Amino acid sequence: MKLNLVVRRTNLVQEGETIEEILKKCGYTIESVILLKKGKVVLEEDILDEDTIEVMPVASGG
Amino acid sequence: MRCRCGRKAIYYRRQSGQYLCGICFSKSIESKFRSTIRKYALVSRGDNIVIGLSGGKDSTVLLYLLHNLQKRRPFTVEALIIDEGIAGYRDKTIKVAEKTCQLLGIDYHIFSFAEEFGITLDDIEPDVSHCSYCGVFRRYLLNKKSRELTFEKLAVGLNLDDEVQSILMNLLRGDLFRFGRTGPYYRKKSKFVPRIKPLREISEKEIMLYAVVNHIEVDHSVCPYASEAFRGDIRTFLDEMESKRPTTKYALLRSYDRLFPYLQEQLTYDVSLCEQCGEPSIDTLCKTCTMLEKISVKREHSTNK
Repeated sequence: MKLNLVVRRTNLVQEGETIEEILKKCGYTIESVILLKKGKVVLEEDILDEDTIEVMPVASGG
Repeated sequence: MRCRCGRKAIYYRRQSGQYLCGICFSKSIESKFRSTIRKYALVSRGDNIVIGLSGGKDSTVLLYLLHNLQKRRPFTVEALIIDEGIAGYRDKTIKVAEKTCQLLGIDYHIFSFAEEFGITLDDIEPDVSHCSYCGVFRRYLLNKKSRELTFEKLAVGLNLDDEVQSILMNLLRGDLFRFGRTGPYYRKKSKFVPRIKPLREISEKEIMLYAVVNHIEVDHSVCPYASEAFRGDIRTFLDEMESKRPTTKYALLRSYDRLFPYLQEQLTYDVSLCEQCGEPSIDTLCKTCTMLEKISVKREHSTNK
């Protein structure tokens, strides 16, 4: 399962929130996902407003 | 941010405060894998190793790492694939596992619950969860088939998260015998093929990252029965702790490993052979035969109704 997260100011995401805080609202911790931008692994601090980020949960299998 | 080598960093390792590029990250994983093997002498020259392969990230990454290690020291690797009979899930992961073996030129063997036990996991109507049956049947087949195919070691893709989850689960269940069996090495016991866990010090996240960075094809599916497992609650708790206090998981594993020699001394158990199937067991009937009997009684009841 993959989830696309568009980082923009909505009711869910408030200005100034960190990626970690946004993920928490979606039910993830930073330890439980990998973040991808245009298919490449990206650091939290390299994510900008309006970026589309693919959130890849690391848990799979049984 | 830049990696120490000057390249653009793609990963921040919170546990050590390092920024790493894809190349330095991959090298650090390969180095950790080799150091775990050295520390516990998991692989020797001339070993005949079989890997329990599912097509998921852990066992696939382990297969790649062992395959690369073969360039440094001579030993053989083959794969054992178990088909539990989970429609829409295992059939997909087996295709990925077969493809990986063909790509790397690794011989593989497939065994199924349907052929070996006459029932698929989907057909079982469990009292508690499918996972308890699956775990017992899977371990039974992996050990039995590894031994019958004359392999000396069984490599499994258990990672840091799996290990600390098991430690905590067994402690919370009060299952001290299992608690004492989650260590980095095993004492040789009759009819048991020793299991090796070369990924036990690498986190699940870093294994997935290694697969992504190195373009290794893995199956990302989640088992449809996984939500039934107690493990899920423990996983959530440990992930939250790790996010708040990086190194929590590693510290738990380290503490356990220091206790392990004492646990092995204190929590000993005699292994005999199951009266029905002849496989190793601590009771007169092994867990697999007990469960199969239970399934058979249930089926008889439902056909008599």
